[in-house]
Formats: sequence, C-alpha cells, structure tokens
Amino acid sequence: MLAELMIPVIIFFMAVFFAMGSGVMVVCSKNPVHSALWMVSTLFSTAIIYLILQFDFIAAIQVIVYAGAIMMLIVYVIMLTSVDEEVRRKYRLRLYQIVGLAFIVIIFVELVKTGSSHLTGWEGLDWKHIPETFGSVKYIAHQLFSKYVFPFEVVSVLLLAAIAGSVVLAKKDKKD
Amino acid sequence: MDFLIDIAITVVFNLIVFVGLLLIVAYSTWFERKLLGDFQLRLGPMRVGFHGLMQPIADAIKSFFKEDVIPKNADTVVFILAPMLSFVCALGVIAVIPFGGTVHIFGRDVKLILADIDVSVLYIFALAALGSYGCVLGGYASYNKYSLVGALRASALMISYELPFALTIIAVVLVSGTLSFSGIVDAQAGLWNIVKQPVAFILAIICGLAEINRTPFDMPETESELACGFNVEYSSMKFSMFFMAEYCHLFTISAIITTLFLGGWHGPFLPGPIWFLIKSIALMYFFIWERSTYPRLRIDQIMRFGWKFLLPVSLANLVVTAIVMTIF
Repeated sequence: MLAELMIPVIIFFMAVFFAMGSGVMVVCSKNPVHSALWMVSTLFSTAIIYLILQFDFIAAIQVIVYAGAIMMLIVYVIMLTSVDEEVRRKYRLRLYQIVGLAFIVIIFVELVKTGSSHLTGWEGLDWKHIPETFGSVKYIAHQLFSKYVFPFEVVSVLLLAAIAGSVVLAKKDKKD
Repeated sequence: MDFLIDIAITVVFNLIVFVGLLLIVAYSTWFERKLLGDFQLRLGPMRVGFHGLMQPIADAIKSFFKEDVIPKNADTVVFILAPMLSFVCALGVIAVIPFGGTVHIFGRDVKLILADIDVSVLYIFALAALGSYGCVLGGYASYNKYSLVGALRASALMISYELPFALTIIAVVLVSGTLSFSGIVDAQAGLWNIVKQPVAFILAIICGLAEINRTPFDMPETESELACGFNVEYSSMKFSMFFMAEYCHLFTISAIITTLFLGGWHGPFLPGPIWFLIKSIALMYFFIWERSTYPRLRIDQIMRFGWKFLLPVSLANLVVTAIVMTIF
C-alpha cells in the first residue's frame, strides 16, 4: 500500500528535479540548439507534473503545442540561421547583474513564503467542492465553452490578429 | 501481496507486448522486402533460412558488428540522442492501442491494452510531435548539407500534415464521443467508422503515410536527390535504430488506423488480438503495395497538396460531421 502511494511522489520529485535542472541548462548551455532542447526537456517534465496532478489533457496539450509546435519552429529557425556557439566572455560583475540577482533572491523568498503558507493551509482546503471530473477533457471543454467562452473568443481574435500581422510583415519586402 | 501480483502481471504483460512489437518490427522488414520482390517479379531474400525467414536476425547481427562512425564536426550528444528519441517515440505509441478485450488471469480482469488513458488520441499526437525531433536533430547534428536539407524537409512535412491528420481524427472523435481508443473501439462494435467516415479514412491513410515518411511522401530520405537525407551520416546500430523506428511507425500507423476506422479488435469467431493483427497487417500490406506503385512527389507538390487540398477537405469533413451530429 505504501509503495502504491510512494511511486507518484517519487516520480513527482524526479519530474520537478528534471524541470528545474533543464531550466538552468537552457540558460547555461552555449549552443543555441542545446538550449532549445533543454527547453523541450523542461516542457516535457512539466507535462509529467501535470500528469501526476491528474491533468491528462493539459499534459498532452503541453507536449503537442509547446514541445511539438513552438519549440520545433524555434529549432527550425536556429538551424536555418546557423547560429554559432556563443563565445565565452571574460566574466565581470556588472551593475545590472547585481540588481538582477537581488530581484531573483527577493522573488524566490516571496515564492517560498507564499508556497509554505499554502502548504500549511493544506488541511483547511475544501476537497469536497472539487468535482470528481476535475481536469478531464469533458470538464475543461464544458468550462471553456460555457463559463469562459468570452475570454476564449477574445484570445482567438488576438491570435488571428497576430497571424494577419505576421503575414503583412512578411509580404512587405516583396513590393520593393 | 496483491499489489506485488499486480505489478508482476503488469511487468510480464509489458514485456510480452514489447517483445512482440519488436518481432513484428523485425519481420516487417522481411515482409516488405518479400512483397517488393513479388511486385517487381523477383524472389526477394532467399538465402538465410527458409525463404529468407532468418534475414532480419542476420541483418541485426550485421549492424551490431559494423563500425560506428561519428562525423568529426558532428554535435556528438545530439547525434547519439536523435536515433534513441526516434525509436522510443515510435515504440511508445503501442501503449495506448487496445488489441483485445478483457482477459481473466489470476483472479484479475486484465484489459489487453497497456495504458487505457482518457486522452489516447492526444497522446499519439504528443509522441508524434516528440518523434519528429529525432529526424530533425539527426539531420542537424550530422553536420552535413544533405542531412540538414532532409531534416528541414522532414519537419516541414510533419508540421504540414499533422494538421489535416488531427482534423480528420477529430471527426472520428466526434462520431465516437470519446478521446480514448478503447472507447472508440467500443463505439464501433456495431458499425465500423470506415462506413460512417469514408472520407476521413482516406484522408487518414494519406496523412498517415506523410507522418511516417513513406512513399510518395518520403521527402526526408530521398535517395536520388539527398543521398538518403537525414540519416546519411549514421552507421551501425544508430542507423538501425532509425530504420527500426521507421518500420515501427509502419506498424503503429496501421494499428492506429485499424483502431480508429476498422473496428479495432472486434470481429467474429477469432479472438481479439488475432483480428487486430489481421487488420493491421492487411493495412501494412496496402502501404507496401502502394510504395511499389507510386513514384515520389516533389517537395513543393507535397506542400501544395497538404495545405491547399488536404487541409480544406479535412476541415469540410469536420464541419459536415459536426452539422450532421448536431441535427441528428
């Protein structure tokens, strides 16, 4: 019985570890293609975390949309433009780096504070109000097309505007 | 103790399925070579074993002992990773495909499906998306112009044909009312989806061919213009992995189309897994037959066909299906 409960926890922490590790590697690796691949690894680990939280649908969509479509396009562009490896610079501490570091520390401390306060309020959470179908495709579709239909449609118009804009930008050169 | 028996059953079941899958993959190479020989009025492999039956094993041993070459300027890690990615993503598809009903073993009802999940349709698309990285990265990491062009074509092909494929399958999902493969198979118990969705069936076969890069869509590895495309620098076991991934795709796409349109494992008299294999192998036969019949298309023809013909037709099919489903 214990093993049954432990396996998801172990997988969860492995996924978290991989997500954070590959997140760091996205920034640290010098080759842009490697960065993109670590990004895919981050997205994939996040999908595993969704799976453990019973969000099957979101996990699959995460992999299809982000890893499959968006990162594929980014890899495509990097390959076409043949970006070389970044040259290692001489390390010198700049002012903006210090400010950035300070911000990171502040955000991290705040995150830990809010996170731990939520964790301590775990017992008080009302589990009964979470529907049993929560996270299933039917539940998400129902919510999306009834309660949140207006924001959903607005986002689709926004995306359409973005597509039209990119087409206009790409066509511009041909006239000259 | 009960938990341990559950785990043991799961492990043994997984092993059987994967060993079976690998055997099918190995023998589909033999099947294809034999059939191509037949279509071209020759015998095909005959030397190793009875009618060349041991040929796949001989090929495997050969590729194990070949020299493994990694190009000097290649991106070594990605070069090694790419075939693995390709192969794992090709194998993983089998997990959600139901190949039989429920079997009673050790006082337990075991469903003949590795993972009966709610979102199997999305799962195969996710795996296909990850699998296309294998192709693209293999081409990129080889540091070779031919393989880079092959990789670019591969990604262009997969992105363009994934869209009509998804739209086609959504029509099937609409008819069945579920995203899970076992649900789709159960919904076809009376009438197969090929009768309800004939257009979708043809579209799915075309898009499926493009997804697994087979003739007439074998753009990523055109021998005559790209000298074998994305895997030109690969040798030994790494090449074999790409090769096995390709044949694994051939089987899994047949299995997926069987599940979606041909009633899955349902059939009279014979047990479910046998029917499933008969239908899948019949589809594989069709794919090989088609390969020996049609020439390869040009890349611009493929792109035009995908975006200007397949996409509108699959959209129209989806809209008509939706309207009919709402009215009746």
